[in-house]
Amino acid sequence: MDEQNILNLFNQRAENAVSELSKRYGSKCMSIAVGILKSREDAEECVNDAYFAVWNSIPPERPQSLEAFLYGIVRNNSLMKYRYNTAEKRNSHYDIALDELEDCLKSSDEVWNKLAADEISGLINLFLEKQKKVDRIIFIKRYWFSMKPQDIAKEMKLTKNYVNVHLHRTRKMLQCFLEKEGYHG
Amino acid sequence: MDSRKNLEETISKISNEFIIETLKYDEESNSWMRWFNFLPKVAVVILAVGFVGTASVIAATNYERLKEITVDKDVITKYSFESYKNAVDFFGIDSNFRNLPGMTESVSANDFRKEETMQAGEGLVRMDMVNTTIISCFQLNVGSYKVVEHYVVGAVGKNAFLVENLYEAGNERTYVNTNGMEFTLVDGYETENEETREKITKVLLGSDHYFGVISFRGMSDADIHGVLDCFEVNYVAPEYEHYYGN
Repeated sequence: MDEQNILNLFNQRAENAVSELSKRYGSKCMSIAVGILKSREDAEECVNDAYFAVWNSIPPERPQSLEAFLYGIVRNNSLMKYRYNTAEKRNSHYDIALDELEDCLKSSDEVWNKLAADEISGLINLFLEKQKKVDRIIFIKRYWFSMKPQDIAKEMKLTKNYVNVHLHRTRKMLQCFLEKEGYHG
Repeated sequence: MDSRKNLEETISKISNEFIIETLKYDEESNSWMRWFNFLPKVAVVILAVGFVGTASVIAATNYERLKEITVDKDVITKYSFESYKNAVDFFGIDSNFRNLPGMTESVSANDFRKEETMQAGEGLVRMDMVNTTIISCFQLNVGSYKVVEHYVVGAVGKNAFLVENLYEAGNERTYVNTNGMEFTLVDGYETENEETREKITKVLLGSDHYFGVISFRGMSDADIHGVLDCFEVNYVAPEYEHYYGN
């Protein structure tokens, strides 16, 4: 069933709306959640919570993309669960991905105090807009979807080396961009 | 941990537009062969392949012919190999054929680098590129086939192609291989001379920065399909400047 039909089911409060949502997007939701949590059980819980959240939101919510809307909720649920589970521990490749970005965004404590997350997000969005599509997509897959470089390579029919090189380059460029925008000022 | 939370929050606020773009890209990633449908279907001229040799290069937008340009070869190095695998290993290419069936007759290759501004229609086109051509010949059952592949690095992509002539082209048919890619097969002759000519079947191959053509002689469609089943898209062109470490 396509996205529009699933949205119609939600708007009609049809009983099979959630099952159709799960059929179409379930495996990707699980992959996002497992990528962050490393635990299938926790991931299932977060995904189910996300389905429930979608059910409660639509209507009145009318997302531009149901898929992106759902994945955003799954990601947020997984992050909350992850923070709750791990406290100070860091153990998933989600952490490794964030470490890469943290390296790129040096002296972060100082910076975060200076600029609100909203402002930095705005700058990152501006930066991404200027990147080549393929680099932007690799970046999003790595840092938003928390995918491993080898999985990105497989999905995009690229080599792992290509993905790693382009991620490295994008991070360096992001660092320069933020510096220019007064990030370290 | 505060900075970590801030970082997570920042990433969470990446524009939905980019998330949607990524999702759409996944959906479209298997449709790379679609541009074949836009190739000109002329009775004689059927195949668009590359940039080397004496053939002409056409710089085109939306596949409309602008102007034919003759390419001068700059620096060309020629090679000969014992096998196709040796050739792709030598060049370090993630080739689009994992295997080519039959007995190897010959494998040769050449590569050249070109940096030039050329005229195309009313404008100028910068044609910085490296082209590696691998030509492989095989015998299979009672027939034979030749695969000519161009692996390109540089500013070429979909906007340039080589035209190859085939006389009395016809019997056009399509085949979808086991990887789900669609090919067009066309029968015809390479010369006009009726006494010496031999019927061949040609198939175009292509994706961004990759062009190729296979010429089959005396082969059944079943055997041709077997060869086409070996085709998959693996090659991704490196960035030109990084290819040379500039």
